Amino acid sequence: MKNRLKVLRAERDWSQADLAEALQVSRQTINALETGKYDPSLPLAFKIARLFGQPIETIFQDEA
Amino acid sequence: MEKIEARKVSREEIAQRIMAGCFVLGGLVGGAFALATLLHWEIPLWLIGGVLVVLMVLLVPVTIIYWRMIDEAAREAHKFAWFWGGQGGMLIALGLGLLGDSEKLVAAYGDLKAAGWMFVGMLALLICQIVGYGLAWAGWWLIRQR
Repeated sequence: MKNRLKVLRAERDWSQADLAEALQVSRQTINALETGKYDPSLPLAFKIARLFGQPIETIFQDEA
Repeated sequence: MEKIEARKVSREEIAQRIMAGCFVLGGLVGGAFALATLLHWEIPLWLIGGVLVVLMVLLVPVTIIYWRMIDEAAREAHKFAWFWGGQGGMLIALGLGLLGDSEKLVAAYGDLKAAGWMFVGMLALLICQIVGYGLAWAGWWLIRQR
């Protein structure tokens, strides 16, 4: 699954550590999410959407 | 919000310290047994088994605390490692068991009774599973960091 996490984070000038703190996860988890090799759970996806103030489908896109 | 973030950061740190503490504890116990072997002290198998059982029981609540401290990706890595690493290690242990040479085993461990050999087998299985677990866990993270 593709996502725009890295772009959204860069737009806000946040580091991976900043985003990790805001989402209450580890920096390694943010890196795994940004590489698109780890898909978040629904609760985490909703949390990300709330944090960036955007709908989930604008942040995550299904590649199928 | 700041308070929640600060609490979470400390939870991550606690989880890392718990893991580090377990490594240190394992290293100390393993080192003590290795030192005793170097000094040619006879360590009865029941003592090694007893120490392992006590440690594993003590680590159950520690594991529960650790599990609650880590995030979902870290839990996923452990579940992956448990299934694939644990099973892979089990298969390797099974292969080693089939390749086992009686004379070499007796030379290494002495002429044990059936219960003793069963314990040696269990220990070998545990070691293979731990190695497999560690490799699978590290692999899961490495693949997702690039």
